[in-house]
This record gives sequence, structure tokens and C-alpha cells, in this order.
Amino acid sequence: MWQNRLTLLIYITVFMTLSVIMSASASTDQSYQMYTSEKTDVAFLAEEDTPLVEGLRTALSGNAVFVDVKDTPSALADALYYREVSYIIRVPAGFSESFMKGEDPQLSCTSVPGSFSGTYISEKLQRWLSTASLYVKTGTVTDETMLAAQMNKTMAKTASVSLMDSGVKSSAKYSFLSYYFKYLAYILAAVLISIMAVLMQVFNDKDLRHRTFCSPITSYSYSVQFLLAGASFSAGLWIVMMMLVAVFNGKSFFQGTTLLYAANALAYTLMASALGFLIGTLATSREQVGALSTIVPLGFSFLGGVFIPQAFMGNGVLAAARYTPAYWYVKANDAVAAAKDLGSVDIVTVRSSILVVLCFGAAFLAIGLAAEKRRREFSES
Amino acid sequence: MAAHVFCTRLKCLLRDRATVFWTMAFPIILALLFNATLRNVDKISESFHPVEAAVIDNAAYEKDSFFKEALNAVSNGEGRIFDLTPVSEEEADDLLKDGTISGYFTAGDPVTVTAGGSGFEASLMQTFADSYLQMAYASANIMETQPQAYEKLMTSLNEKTEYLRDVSISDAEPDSAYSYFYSLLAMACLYAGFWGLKETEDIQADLSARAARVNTAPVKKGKMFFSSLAASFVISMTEILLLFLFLRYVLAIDFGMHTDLVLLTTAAGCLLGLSGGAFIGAVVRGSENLKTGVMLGLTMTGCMLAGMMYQGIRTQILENAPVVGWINPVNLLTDAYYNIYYMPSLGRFWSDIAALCAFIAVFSAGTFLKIRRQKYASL
Repeated sequence: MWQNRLTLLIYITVFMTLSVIMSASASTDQSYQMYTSEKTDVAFLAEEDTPLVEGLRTALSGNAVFVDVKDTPSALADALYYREVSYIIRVPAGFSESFMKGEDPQLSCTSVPGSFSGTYISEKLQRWLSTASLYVKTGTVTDETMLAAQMNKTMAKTASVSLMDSGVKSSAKYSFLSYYFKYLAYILAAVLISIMAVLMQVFNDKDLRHRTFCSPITSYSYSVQFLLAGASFSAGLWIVMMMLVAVFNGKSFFQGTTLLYAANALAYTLMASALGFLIGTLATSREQVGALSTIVPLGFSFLGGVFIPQAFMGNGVLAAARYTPAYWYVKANDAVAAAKDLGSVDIVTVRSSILVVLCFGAAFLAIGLAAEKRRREFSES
Repeated sequence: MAAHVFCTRLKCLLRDRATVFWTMAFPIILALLFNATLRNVDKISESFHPVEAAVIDNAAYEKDSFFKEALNAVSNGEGRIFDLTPVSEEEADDLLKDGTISGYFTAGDPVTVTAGGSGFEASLMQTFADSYLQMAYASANIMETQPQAYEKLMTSLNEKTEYLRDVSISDAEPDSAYSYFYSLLAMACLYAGFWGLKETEDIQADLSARAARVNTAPVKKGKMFFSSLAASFVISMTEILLLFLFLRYVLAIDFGMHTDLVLLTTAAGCLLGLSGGAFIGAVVRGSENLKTGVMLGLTMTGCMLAGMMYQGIRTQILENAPVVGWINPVNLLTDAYYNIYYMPSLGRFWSDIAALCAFIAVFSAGTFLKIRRQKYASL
């Protein structure tokens, strides 16, 4: 294991960097928080500065976060494609004058076709302009200042909104802690599978194996010692990762929910060690171990929702994901993340998900032990 | 002789199954994973669907014909924004509790919206209710101050003037999920560095037994190296083209109309990968594992900064440290594919290609200077 310290260090460094960057970006990233946000990112490009345009901007401010984007085709295309903004409004020069004459000028709007945010902002703009046009077309106002005053009074009329606890879980809020523990699924699997599998390869070397079995220890003792060594390393890695939470985010560490996150991670640690043991038993070369210890953690993490929230996955993918331990790990993690405090955690979901992960681990270990026994019997015969 | 070296080297390289796996099979497996999980993120998270809503069917609702009419206008037809169900208050509460609806309207003065939580669905319901009240207030206000304008008001209320005009920036859909696949293709191009690394390992006599044997052959080192490199280029280009065809025709990833430019970018990417790998092989002194580690570390860091794991990183880097974008070959390749697909003009694409060519020139010159005319005291 000591020989693999560099790999371990690289994994942990990359993981910590990603966790910190992701959690820092999460507060500004709208694309993954769509249904919990009431505002959408808008680029408001006005080619004139008039009271009407100012009124429109003010009215929209309740539904939009204005983002400054350079007014060039390239910058605007970038901003829309990478969702820096979801909507671009361009007020052409002469719009206000034309509007005040009772004509029907148009704003140029660009949005992601068929998107919710597009419909949301379009609806707001269209209705505001339709209401303003009532004052203009009936001759109630004659200039923009009067219109602005009337629209201010009109906009003060709002519906009463009450929130009701629907019992439906809102999407998980990804704090540093939840991001950290989510990505931990990948790092634990990647590190433990590669190290356990390499270890198995070393111990399964024909000469080393023969030498070991010449020694006066029973096969049972050998297996128990090997598994205990693996478990000690896994527990050590888990403790290090828990200590890193305290170092990077001490405040979060002392929340009540940390205990549940940590328990979930411990179950996943045990499962990953067992999986590493299984892969190490089945693989026939170092190259195979290298390939499997890269692809299996990546596959589990992608399908299980470590990198992409489960809410954004198709039903078919989710159905397949249920057969990966990462899916249950993330499910428990999200259930903890969605709760305000320890008391409001959906403990049934967390407990059952942890149990499923442990069952996966037990199954991997059982298959690994069976394969190991078969290999030993085969080589002895 | 060059053709003989080329053919022999081709066979030799193709027998290296581990490198073939990492340079071809691994990107294809990643593409499948990306396709299963990332492909529909935009569609699921952004697509508009009519909001499931209810309205309390009581005496106030029956009496308020304007509100009823306004709600019906936005709850029918293809462009509807609500899927509306008139229900009793108890039923509405039950529907809201079990998550069937996002909220419900209650007619009255003022109209109220009861929602299950914040979010776009609830906000859209609130926007509608606010607008209805504001329109009603404006109409009453106008009738109070301008009673003679009744007819004009009615005409304005009944006409459906469209104040918004949809303008497209590009002919292509702004499907941001594609950029993950572009980064993946860029990563695969740079994985050609595995072959480049192998070439320098197998030509410098102090690095491998094969190179020592090759150096004793009566063939010029340059001829040997460039023939071998050509074989590596053919293999890596074939691998990347297979990956491109897989992405384009099996996973239906759109690369835009300019297939010729996509091929040009891919060829530049392959050359960059090869020359980069060869450069690392020549410059870094140490074991093969160390060189592979350096190459992989640089490639994967480039992938991360180019947004392959998380797109927000790329945006933040381009905003705060654009120079990092220019010195990151993965970002240049990703940006080139993105420009071909989405950008209305190709100015930035050519800048990306120029920067890639500069990288290729630097790596090639560095490798050439490092490995030329090396003499060995003994082999």
C-alpha cells in the first residue's frame, strides 16, 4: 500500500479541489437548481435609456437576475450556450417612442427553445407590456413619466401567496458537506478498488502464494489476516477523509447530520473494499486491474448520480442505476442533504439505503471469497 | 526502408492491447456513460411543461367570470401554461400534499395562490395571478379617469398584441450537454500522447532494450523515428475517427454542418497528442510510469479545466483567467468543436487552430532538439 502512496495523494488532492470548487460554484449555478429558484439569469441589452425601459427592467427584477454580458454575437452565444444566462432581451432603439405612439413595437428575445425559464420571462414581459399598452392606447397617459408612475401603482397590486407544506421533498440543497460526501463515493471506490485489487494481485503471485502456504499458518488464518489488513486500510482512509472535512469546513463538521453522512460513507467504504477484493480475485493481470479500477468507480458514479443529480436522469437510466451501490449511497446522501436538521431527516430512506449498500458489499465479498476458494482448490489440485 | 519500418511498427503498436484499450475503448466507455447520464440533463431540467394546477371551484370562482375566462385562456390549447383542474378546497389540499399539483388558485379579492414550495412552477402561477390583478386594476383605473375610453379599452383588452420577437443566435440548438462530448473527444486526441510517449521510449537507446536494438540498425535515427511516428499517427487518427463516428452516428451527437473542419480539428488534436506525448517522453527523465503519470495528470487537469467534469469551471476560468484557457490544449480543442457546432462565425475557431498549431510546433521542436544526435558510450 505504501508503494501506492503517490496515487493515493493524487486522488485525494484532485478530490478535495473538485469538492471545494463544486461547492463554491453551487451557490451561483442555476442549471442544477432550477426548480428551487424563482429567478432566472437574464441579459438585458437596451439600446436606449428611457423611463419605459427602466420601468420594464424594474418590473422584471422580481423574476430575473441581470447578468452583464458583452454585447457581441460571440459573447452572447457563449453566455446562452453555457447557461450563464437563460434569456437575452434586446430593446431596440426607438422602442419607447414607438410604444408611446400606440404602435406595437417588439423586443428581440433569445432563449433556450422550449425552456421553462424562457416561457417564464416571456410571460412576464408580454403581460407587463400589454398592461402598459392599456394606459397608452386609451390615452390615459401622454408621456413616459406618467406611464411609469401609473405602472408603479399598478405593479403594487399583487396576489397573495401562501406556502403549504406539501410533504413533497424539495431537491437537496448542496452545501459543502453534501457535495463533499457525494464525491466521496467516487474517491472511496477509486482508491479502495485499485489498492485492494493490486494487493490481491501481489498476494496471488504464484511464487509468493506457494511460499505463503509453506508457512505454518492455516488457510483460514491467512484469509482473516488479509481481510483485516484490508479493513484496517479502509477504516484508515475513512478516518482521514472525515478529518479532512473538519479541516476544510470545521463549521459543517459539527452539524448533527454529519453523523449520518459519515455512517453512509463508512458503509460505502466497506462495500468498495469488498468490491476491490472481488476485482482483485477475478482479474488476471495488472492491466486488467488498472482498467477495471478506473471504469467500475466511474461507471458506478455516473449511473448512481454522484456527478449528475438523480433528478435529472431518465427513468431508464435510474432503473439500471438501482443495481449499483452508488445509487443507494447518493439516495441516502440526498435524503440527509434535503433535511434542515437531524430531526427532520427521512431516517427510513437513509437506513434502508445504507443497508442496501452493505448488502452489496456482503455479496461482493461472498463472491470474492468463493472465487478465491475455487482458485486455491484449482491451483492445489 | 521507411515503408518497412512503418509497416513493422504498425504491427508492433497494434499488439499493445493495453494502450489500444486506453486510447480507444476507454473514451468509448466514457462516451456511453456520458450519454446515459448527461445527455438529457438540459431537457429534463429546462424543458417547459404545463404546470399542474388547480382552482377552487366555489361560488367566488363561478361569479368572477373575468378570472375564469383568463384562467381558461392560459389552460387550453397547445401553448397552454397550466393544466388546470377545478376542485374543492379539501381536494386541492390533498392534491398539493401528494404532489399531484404545484399549487392552486382561489378566486376572491385578491386572488390567492397556495403553493407547495418555491420554484418556477409556483412562480409562474404567481406571475399569472399578479398580472391578472394588475390588468384588472389598470382597467378599473382607466374607467375611473377616462370613462369615455371604454371602447378603446375593450378593443385593447381583446386584441392579442405580440410584443416579443424570437431571435436565434445560431442555427444550432444551445444544447450544452454536447460540450461534454467535445471535451471527451479532445481528451481522446490527447490520449494519442500514449503513442507519442512510446515512440520516444522506443527510439532513445538509454530508455529501453528495444530502442537499444533499434539504434544498432543501419537506418538513420530520423528516418526510423518519423516512420514510427507516422504509424502512431495512423493508429491514433483511426481510433479518434472511430470515436467520432461512434459519437456522431451511434450517440447522435451533433457536430454541426462543417464535417471537414471537425476532421481538421481532430487531425490537429491527434498531432498535438502525439507531439505532446513525445515531448514528455523526451524531456521528463524517469521511469515509464512517471512519464505516463505526468502525461495523464496534465491531460486530466486540462479536461477538468475545460469543463469535462463540470462546465461551470470553464466559464469561471474564461471570466477570471482567460490565459489559462489559451494554454490549455483540451480547452482549445473543445472550443474548436463548439465553435464549429454553435458559433455564427468561425473567427474564434481559426484562432483555436492557430494556437493548437503553435503547441504542435513547440512540442515537435522540443522533442527534435532533445533526441537528435544522441550518442551512447555503450549499449
